[in-house]
Amino acid sequence: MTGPRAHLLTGVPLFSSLPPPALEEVAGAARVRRLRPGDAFFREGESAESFFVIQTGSVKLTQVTPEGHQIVLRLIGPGDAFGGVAAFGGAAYPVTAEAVTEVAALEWPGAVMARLMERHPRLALNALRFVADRLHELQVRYRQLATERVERRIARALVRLVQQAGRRTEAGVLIDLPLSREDIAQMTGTTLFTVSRVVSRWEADGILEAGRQRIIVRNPHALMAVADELA
Amino acid sequence: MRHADVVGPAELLDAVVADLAMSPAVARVFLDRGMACVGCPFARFETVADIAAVYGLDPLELAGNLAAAADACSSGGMTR
Repeated sequence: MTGPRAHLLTGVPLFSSLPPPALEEVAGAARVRRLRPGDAFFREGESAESFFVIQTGSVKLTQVTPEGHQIVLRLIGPGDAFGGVAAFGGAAYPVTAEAVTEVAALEWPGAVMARLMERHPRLALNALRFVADRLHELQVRYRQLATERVERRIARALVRLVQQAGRRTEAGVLIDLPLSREDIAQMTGTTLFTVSRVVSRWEADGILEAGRQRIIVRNPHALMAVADELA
Repeated sequence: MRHADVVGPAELLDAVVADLAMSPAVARVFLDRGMACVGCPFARFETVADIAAVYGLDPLELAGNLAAAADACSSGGMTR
């Protein structure tokens, strides 16, 4: 039978499948940190020192986007963990963690976590699993971004061509130049395969009409939205 | 401004956006509404009616705002 502290930890993924004695040891190794509303456990970019699990109260995790907006990523409560990067040996916190109400949280400094992981391989395996999942997520997202970048390049090339040789017609804005998909591939440093794939998708979406040597932009705003990442 | 001194909204429906945007006062109308028209490469192919449809706006309301800005501009005797 586990004590209340250890019981709180049974729901934390990092501590899953730990036998009760190990869980008790982990629970006992933590100290309690109490914060008032508005105080921060840590700020984005700061050196990652500790891992936390909330006992009482709620915490908001925020981040500043590249555009400069501060967004709330998550609102977490009792039994939720945060600051995980410190447990996994990461260098800096990727988010700011701020107390919304009065908060009591269990805290493990990185060194304590490391020692616990050496004593309990299950803990280290859980951490590895967590990091592997995150890595996979990042790989998927990276690929998505690379694809978006290529599409943007193709859209921009078409917009430049419109500026040079655009002509309004019934069906839309015609690029009045004989232009093949191969030409576009060369202009954008991509392949015929990629251009064909992207152009086919845009055709299906009604953005443009692409004949053998002829492109008509049917939805200029949609093309500009891709080219300039319009909100 | 290539239009007559007093321009009614309906007459502006077929006006080309790029031409209208050449007047700073009129360009301001697009900017204030958060529209991407000013400097857009497609602005020379689109009319006010086209743009209203793209942004889901009432064409006459938009044309009215543009006409009002054009009036204020021409009554002050300022053209580009």
